[in-house]
Amino acid sequence: MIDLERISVSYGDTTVMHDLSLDVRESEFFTLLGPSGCGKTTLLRTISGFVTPSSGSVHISGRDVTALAPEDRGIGVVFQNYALFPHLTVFENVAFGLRVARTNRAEIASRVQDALDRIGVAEHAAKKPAELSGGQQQRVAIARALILGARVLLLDEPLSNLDAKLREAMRDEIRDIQQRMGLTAVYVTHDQHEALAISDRVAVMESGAVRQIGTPRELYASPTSAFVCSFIGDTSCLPPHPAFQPNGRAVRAFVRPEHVHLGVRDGDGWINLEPTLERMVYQGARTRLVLRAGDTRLTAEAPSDQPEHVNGDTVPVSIRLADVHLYPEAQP
Amino acid sequence: MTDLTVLARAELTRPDLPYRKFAFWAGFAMLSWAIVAFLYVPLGTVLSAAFYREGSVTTETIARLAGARNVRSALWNTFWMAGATVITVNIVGLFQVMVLEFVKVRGAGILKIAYATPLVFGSVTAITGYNFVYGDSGAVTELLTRFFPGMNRDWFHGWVAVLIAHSFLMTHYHFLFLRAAIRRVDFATVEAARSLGASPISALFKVVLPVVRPTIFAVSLLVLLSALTSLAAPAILGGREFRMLNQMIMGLNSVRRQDMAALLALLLGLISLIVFLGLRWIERRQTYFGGAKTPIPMQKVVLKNRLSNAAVHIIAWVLFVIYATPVVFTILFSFAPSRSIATDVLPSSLTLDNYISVLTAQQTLEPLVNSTVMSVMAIAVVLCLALFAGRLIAKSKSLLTGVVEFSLFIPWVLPSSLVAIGLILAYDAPSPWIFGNVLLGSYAIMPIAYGILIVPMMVRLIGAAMVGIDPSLEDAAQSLGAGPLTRFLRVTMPLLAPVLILVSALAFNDLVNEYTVSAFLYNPNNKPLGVAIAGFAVSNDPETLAKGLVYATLVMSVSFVIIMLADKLGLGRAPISVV
Ligand SMILES: Nc1ncnc2c1ncn2[C@@H]1O[C@H](COP(=O)(O)OP(=O)(O)OP(=O)(O)O)[C@@H](O)[C@H]1O
Ligand SMILES: [Mg+2]
Repeated sequence: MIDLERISVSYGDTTVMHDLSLDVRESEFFTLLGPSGCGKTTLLRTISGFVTPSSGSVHISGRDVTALAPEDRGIGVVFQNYALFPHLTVFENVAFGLRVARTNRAEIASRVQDALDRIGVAEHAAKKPAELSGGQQQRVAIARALILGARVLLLDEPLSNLDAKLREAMRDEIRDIQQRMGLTAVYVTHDQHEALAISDRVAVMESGAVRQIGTPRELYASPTSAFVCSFIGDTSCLPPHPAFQPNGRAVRAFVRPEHVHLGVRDGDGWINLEPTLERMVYQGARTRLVLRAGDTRLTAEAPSDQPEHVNGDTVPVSIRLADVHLYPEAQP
Repeated sequence: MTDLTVLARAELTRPDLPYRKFAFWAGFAMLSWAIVAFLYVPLGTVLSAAFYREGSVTTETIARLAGARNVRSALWNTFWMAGATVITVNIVGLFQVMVLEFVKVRGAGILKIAYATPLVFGSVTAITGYNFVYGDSGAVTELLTRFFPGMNRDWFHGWVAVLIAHSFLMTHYHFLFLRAAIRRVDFATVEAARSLGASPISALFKVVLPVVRPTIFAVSLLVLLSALTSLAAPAILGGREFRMLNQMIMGLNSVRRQDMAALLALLLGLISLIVFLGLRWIERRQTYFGGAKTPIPMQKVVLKNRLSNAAVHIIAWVLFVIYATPVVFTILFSFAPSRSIATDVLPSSLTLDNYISVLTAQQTLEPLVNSTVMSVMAIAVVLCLALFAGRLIAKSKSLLTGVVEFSLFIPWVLPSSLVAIGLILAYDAPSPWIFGNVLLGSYAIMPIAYGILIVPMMVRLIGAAMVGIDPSLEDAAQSLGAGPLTRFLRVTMPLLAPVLILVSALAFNDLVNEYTVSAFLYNPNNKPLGVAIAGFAVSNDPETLAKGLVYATLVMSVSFVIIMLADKLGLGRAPISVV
């Protein structure tokens, strides 16, 4: 559906993206995830046409759109701050694209009314954007982006201006709209929980390059690099241990908190550690134990009804070797 | 929408690409031509008039000027008057700011209105008012002679009158900028000083004023600039014995000694440039106000010391009388029957006769119409240029746009008399730059000069407003299929509209009050308000005087409406920078 091929982007003299290729499938919810400044916005704007790559090509539905202006691509875009036109009413904001396309009045009225009904802001049609709540503005922005019948929707951190509760509700709503209309969505976020919760597939980016693409499950269970492993989900770095350094090569070993089990386990495929307890973080049903083994810190998770420990206690833990993610030291 | 319609739309928008390119380059060519023809050519002509004679550089003009006694005395007058003005304006202005922002004074709201009058009652209008009230047949003089029968009726005259007028009419920079600065001072510093034993007044001098010292400097430089280029005050009040530089330039120009006029105008320009660079330097060094996370807003303190409290109140209300008198009498007597003008202390009765006679007679109506039409012409053209230039400056950063931006700010530094002399010298004969036309003596020369005067202000404010518009709004419009023209007309323009209205109104206010350039360039076909008012001001005929008062009142009303509009639209609350 969206094919990015060997895209390079430069701002002036600095190249921020080099030879990046990516393929987004039809009707897929695809997320670009990465730390601030890694090039998510740049990549998204390359798809929408606001950024022209210095080399490489963009194909949408098999058609080369690399040289096409943004207004000619027929892509829906939701901006981080919504970019609702402050001088127009909600109705006129949504109608904007239709007016530009010189659609006739009756059709505009019915289509906009329809769209407003569907997103549940019909009673606010005559208001200016500033009079709406954040969530309502968000809905209007989505309705406006989709009014021309775009099959592709691009969203750049659309939830970052909302408070935590609303974020989750809007997240599910966006996902719902995408499913219902069968849209191809490309979604930018730096929040890994959001990415895992909403996406069909996620591309993890770092300094202008894609480090790994996969379903949320794949990324969490089998990260292919230390960066992805530590960026997605919680991880602890393990102290050196002969069990995963058979030939003495330096490696970095990571483990998820839920794979650090309390108590000693003997047998093949397990390693045992005896860290001391630094502090306990009560989280309701479960409690986190922050442990110190040598000069590394290890996080374990246990049901809250397990026996209490006192700070400074030695708490034996065991980890299954299969749950340890190993990466060569040299790899970033 | 199917892919096919996307494709169709793409194809449809294609053909107008060359047209967009053409429109852009046509606009750019017009802008460049205007800059060269009305800025660089006149400046170059002034330079060559001052320093070239028959193909070689000459210093003869300098020698001739230095030898002229009246030039030397005008230079000396200008310098000491400018220096004295800075001192007196600071005394009056600082006191005003203290009364309005720092000390609890009874009736501060009314005082503020009086102290704000220079914003609407300035330039030639105010000088006319001062002359009318304090002059030899003025109401105040009339009143004074009743108490002191032996006094000289012609006391408001010469350097005394000029200095008095400057001192009270040039405080508007203090009113605007210094007040804003003081309001940003953290009041906790005042309380700290007082907890350490300082009285409120000494806290003001030891803590508050030092913090705003950069603003005081900057405001002083603006006053210096205004005083150096003052024309209406010495022309109307100075009389024969006190003449200043701008009058000299005008005089030399009228006797066709244009090399000397050019040189003096350049000298004034050079001084202005130095002052301007000083302002920039101050602004760049300006320290930010405190580091407190939660600064306490400035509050007014009560003076517990009875003596100083009484003194502050008395001075504050004396200032009130000084500010209010000329305004009130000008407005009042514009409604007086002409036999009452110049004889009575108060109008014997009130009538609309003066207004009717001004507004119905062709001859007196003309300056009103001229000023309005020429200002609107200048504003309309500059508005288009500023929109184009603003977009250019906001969207691309290249050497070329840098040159455009710089060029459009040059007139800010140029004294009006230099602009005028430049236009006169460059276009007193057919010139290829303006397609073989002559400007001197034409109607167009005034609107063009007006345009040059307002370009920097309009480009600056409109450019700033354009930069302030969230770029993702245009991106959003573009992603919905809008091309550049549609985006500009449907998104950018409506968002800019309030600023455009405001900036145009401010420019209009400047232009209807304009005196210097008008006095240099007007001809019988386009005599503007400022010149007409000044002409009436010095008359001894009550009928004529009445017309001047009507003009002055009308201009004041227009200014008042515009300033209120500006305040409503929030320009007064925006962070104000001096340069
Ligand atoms: N207009 C620009 N000019 C120059 N450099 C830019 C520009 N826009 C982005 N960059 C640089 O390109 C890199 C990628 O920026 P981008 O905005 O794509 O990051 P991002 O992943 O969206 O970050 P964030 O999460 O902070 O939004 C950054 O190093 C940034 O500094
Ligand atoms: Mg971004």
